[in-house]
Amino acid sequence: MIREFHTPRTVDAAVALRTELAGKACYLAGGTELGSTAFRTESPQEVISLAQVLSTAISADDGGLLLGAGCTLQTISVSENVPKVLRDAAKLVANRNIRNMATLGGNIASNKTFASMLPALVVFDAQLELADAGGGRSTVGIMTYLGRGGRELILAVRIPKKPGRRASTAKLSKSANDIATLVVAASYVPDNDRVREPRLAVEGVADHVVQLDSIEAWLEGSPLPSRDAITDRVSDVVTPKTSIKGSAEFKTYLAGTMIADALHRAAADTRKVNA
Amino acid sequence: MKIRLTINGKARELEVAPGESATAALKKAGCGGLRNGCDGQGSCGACAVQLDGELVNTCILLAPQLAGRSVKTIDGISHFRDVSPLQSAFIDAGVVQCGYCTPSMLLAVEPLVAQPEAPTREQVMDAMSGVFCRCTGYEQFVGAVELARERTKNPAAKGNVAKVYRDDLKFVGRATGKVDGAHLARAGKAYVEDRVDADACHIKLLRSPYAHAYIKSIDTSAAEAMPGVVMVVTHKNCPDINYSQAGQGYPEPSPYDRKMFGEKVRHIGDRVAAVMAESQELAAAALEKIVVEYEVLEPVLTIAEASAAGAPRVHKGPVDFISGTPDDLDNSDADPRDGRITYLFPIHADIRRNIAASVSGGIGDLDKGFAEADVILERTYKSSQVQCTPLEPHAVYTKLVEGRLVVHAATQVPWHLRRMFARLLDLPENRIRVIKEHCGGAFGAKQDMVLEEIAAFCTWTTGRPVSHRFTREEEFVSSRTRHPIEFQVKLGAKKDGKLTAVYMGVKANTGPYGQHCLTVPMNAVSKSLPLFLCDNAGFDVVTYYSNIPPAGAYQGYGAPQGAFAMQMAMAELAEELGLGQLDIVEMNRVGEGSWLEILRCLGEGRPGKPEQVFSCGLKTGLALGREMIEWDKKETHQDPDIAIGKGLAIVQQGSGLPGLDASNATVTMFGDGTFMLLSGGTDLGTGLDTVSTKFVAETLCVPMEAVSIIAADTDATPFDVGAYASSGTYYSGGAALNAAKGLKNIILDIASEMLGEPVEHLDMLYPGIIKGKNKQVTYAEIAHETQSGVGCGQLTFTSNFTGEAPSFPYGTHFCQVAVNTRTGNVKLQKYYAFQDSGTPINPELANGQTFGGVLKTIGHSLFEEMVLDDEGRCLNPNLLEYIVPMSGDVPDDFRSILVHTDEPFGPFGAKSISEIACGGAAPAIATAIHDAVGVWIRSWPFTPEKLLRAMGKL
Repeated sequence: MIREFHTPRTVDAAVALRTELAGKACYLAGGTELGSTAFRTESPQEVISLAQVLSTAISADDGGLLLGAGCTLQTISVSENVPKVLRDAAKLVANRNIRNMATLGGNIASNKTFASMLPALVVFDAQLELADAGGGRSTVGIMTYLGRGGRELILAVRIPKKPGRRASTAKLSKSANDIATLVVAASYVPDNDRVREPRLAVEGVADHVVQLDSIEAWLEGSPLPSRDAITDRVSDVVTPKTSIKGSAEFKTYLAGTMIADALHRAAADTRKVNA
Repeated sequence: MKIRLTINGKARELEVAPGESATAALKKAGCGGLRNGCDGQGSCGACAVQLDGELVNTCILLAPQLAGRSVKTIDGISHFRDVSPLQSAFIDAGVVQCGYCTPSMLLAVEPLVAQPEAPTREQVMDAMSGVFCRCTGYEQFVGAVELARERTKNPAAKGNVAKVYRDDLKFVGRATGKVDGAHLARAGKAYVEDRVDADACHIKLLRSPYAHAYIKSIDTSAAEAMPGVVMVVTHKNCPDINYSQAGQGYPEPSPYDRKMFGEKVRHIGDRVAAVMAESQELAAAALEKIVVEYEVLEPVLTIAEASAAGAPRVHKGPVDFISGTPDDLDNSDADPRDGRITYLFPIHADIRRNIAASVSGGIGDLDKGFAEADVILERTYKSSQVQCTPLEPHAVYTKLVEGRLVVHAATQVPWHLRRMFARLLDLPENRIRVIKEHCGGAFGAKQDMVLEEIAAFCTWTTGRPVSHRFTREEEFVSSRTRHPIEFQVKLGAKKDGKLTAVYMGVKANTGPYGQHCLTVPMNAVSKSLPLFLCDNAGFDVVTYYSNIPPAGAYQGYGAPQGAFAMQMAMAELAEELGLGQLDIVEMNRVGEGSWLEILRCLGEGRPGKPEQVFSCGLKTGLALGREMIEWDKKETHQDPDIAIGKGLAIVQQGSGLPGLDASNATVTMFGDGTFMLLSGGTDLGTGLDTVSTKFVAETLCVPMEAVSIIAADTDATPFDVGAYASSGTYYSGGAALNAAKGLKNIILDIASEMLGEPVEHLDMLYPGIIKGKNKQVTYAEIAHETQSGVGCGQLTFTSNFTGEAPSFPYGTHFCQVAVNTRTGNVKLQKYYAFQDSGTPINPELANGQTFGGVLKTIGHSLFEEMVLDDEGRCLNPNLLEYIVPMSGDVPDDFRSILVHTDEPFGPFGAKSISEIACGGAAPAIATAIHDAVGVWIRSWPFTPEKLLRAMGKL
């Protein structure tokens, strides 16, 4: 039962409240998780609205692209400043009403299987600008943040420039609005037919998004392997569980196939992303 | 806390609780049109509003999140009684069916009407992507937006919403809009939830956690002691009467195999107790206080388990018969805790073997037919358990009015409900009034009495008003679902493809109780075998009891399952013979003039007899489909991983139940020459009231606005069996037509006297004039004459409609799929439904019925499925995990083409629409998948995993 609804006006005030109300309060951005009987995992006594705190701006500078954590997925999906693959990733949430409400920061912080943007953000080496409990600001890589079960408030997401990068993302779901069985994303920088800086991420083979480090290491510096070779490698390293969405065998097969396809699709896409 | 916001352009200040949902806060603020279909998941969009111009689901927003924002609700779209261009476009384009999602849909697409550039189809679909509509299939919204944009520039714009099918008539066969369209588009009060008084009590049900168990003891004392709890109902104090919940005509073929509350529970979610309390919260809290001790039994979930030797018995109670008691009836081993089963007539059940019903039959000589065959093909097919998912869950509101029981129900069968209440409450029918409210979707689920009788009992016992509404989860676990059916199809044919023998074995799973246990599985046969003409045909139908959630009626009523099996087998036979699918269908199909001999042994409610087909649009549908989808051209895709295939199916349904169904209507002239139509027909959002109004207006030569309609109120309107078996247009509409014809004769007689001219010299002219050779008289003058002190009295005529002709509607469905051979994903590129429903009375609504029926069954084919665990628990009892088709699932090219035939026995040449649309999708898609990748998927749903396994990739 929520008994208090706080509307801080500054980031520092929001962070201070969260610290003060530790264990009792949680942040509220779009509300698609906290408000939904399907996704709510916390029952806070108090909520801290971020409506007046988070930036909703999208801007670009020499360092790359900066997306305010308050941007809705709908805003991202139609922004011409955003690389197409990230726009596609935002639109993987097919439900317009949810895209109108869900925020980028919330999508990352939830780190659940419905967080369809995460694989794409991972393969774009997204950096998160955070406000920590002590009032400081820091920047960390998205996987670092997720890996440590990040609790800091996400203020913005920076997509570093990477000339020549090619990327692709895709999902498989039973229906348009179904929460994806699997979401994959892949990127790399072509270097005279060699793969450089490959990034592979998959959502749906574990409770949270997984970056396929060992496959990335295998790919680094090599010519792009065949799809079958990539499929076999990926299938060796993912360990999904059987669920209502499909058997472990199916998801394993799918992860390998979809990653392989995403990499080859990226290779075939001659547009330079985020150059 | 106080929040300031803008609602529909006006500054407001609301007092809200920090954790209050935005839906609740906006309702308290007087906003209309906020509905609930998903219990706060945020998956249905029925509660949507525009927030700062963007559509959001208020059920997942907290009220304080509205602070400082601008909210637009449906009330902001219309002005007083006027409808906006968008609302009028919705009505005229036929996208207002049940109306439950209409406010959200209007708000979803409204920005597209105002934007400078014309929206693409993709943009319209995306705008609607968060709003679930089970009725319309989404396609016609594209045209509605286009029409609305035209109307903002030219209010008189008509658009091109549907073809005209009867040039010679004013209303029939052309789009006119729906008579209740404006009311629903303005979100007027229409549904059960809109009738609930502030002092109503509420019911919550305690449901069984076990699939099969006896209740050893139940202690309700703590619950009953709670302040605000009015009563608790269990098997100890409910009426000791066994009955069926099936809303069928008496004598029902469904067995009376349950009580209101039983001492035995037979599925997870079965009723254990009901708490009636002064608030929902109190009722829920009281449920927690009820202590139940169970004796848990082994459940049976599948047909294999139920039919196994020595299987646990779902029913062990004593059996009796109203008629046809068998000589060997033996109740010596009956367990009274299981409750009595009464059969109104034998349905060949054997509860010792968990057989709820069975029937066999055939024509010709099967052995001879198979002996003559050059090729014999034998295959098995399976359908899965799918749920009707009306956007509005089951709801009822009961109260006493001057000592009579008044029931506001979202039901398809108001008169059957009254009859069942009378028996259960030991009341004469004149003490009961059932008012059918608008239904937010029904689709068969609301043919049955799944919660109404508890509320009626509570109100009759306590004298207090009671509201009861299912949650979405309850809708899944205790409403109605399609019977899972296993088919064995055996076909014999000559080398040229001519059938020599056809056999269909049907094993169905009815779940814990036997509502529709005989008729649905039998319909799987009676709607699929007659499509192909063969002198030697036979069938065996066996329906089993089990401990899965209850099955029952669902739009199509067994025909979609039967069509899947039969059409697939024919396609497989074609492959075996090296013939084309379309060619073997053409060679063997039914056509105009055909006699359907197999119906000799497939009578429903009375002995069967061969029937002749007088109108059949299959020939036209097949020819059009072949041309439009370029059947003979093999398509390729630029992506080598994508394989494209084409498939088809032909389907048949009925137009009501000849010899069983009956409808009545009364037309009365008012003092100014306008009319009131009292119709027993039950409009579920399908447009039946519009059909009936058209028939009267057309017959009496007056504008449709001169005919008002009151329908489906057991006090106010005459009897009708209700809305099922696709009977609405044919029977209920037929009754309205007959009443109008009767009144027309009376009007002519009166006019003859007034004009002093013989009737044969008179013409009835539009709008409401009787013209003789010398003079004329208006309806207003006739009304004045007849209603004055010296007149003959107010002119009125009551008539009925019964029928002997089956008037089969036919459908031909073609589709083109793109299968991703890497992932198994199936994309529907094209879907064309050629629908022969005789004369389309409301063409725009007939198209909507077709789109809606097809998309439902596309869902069943590709992803919908109730998943049960080993204990019988449904693992996906919500819209999000069960998955229902949304606008993103609409085929890229989706068309409904009405094939106009003239049925000699139907009103204005009409046959039925609706159910006929549900049979084609599964076989058309499955055969297209085979054409694409060479594998036969013989069970629903055709998931990527299933395809990959069939393709040998897993």
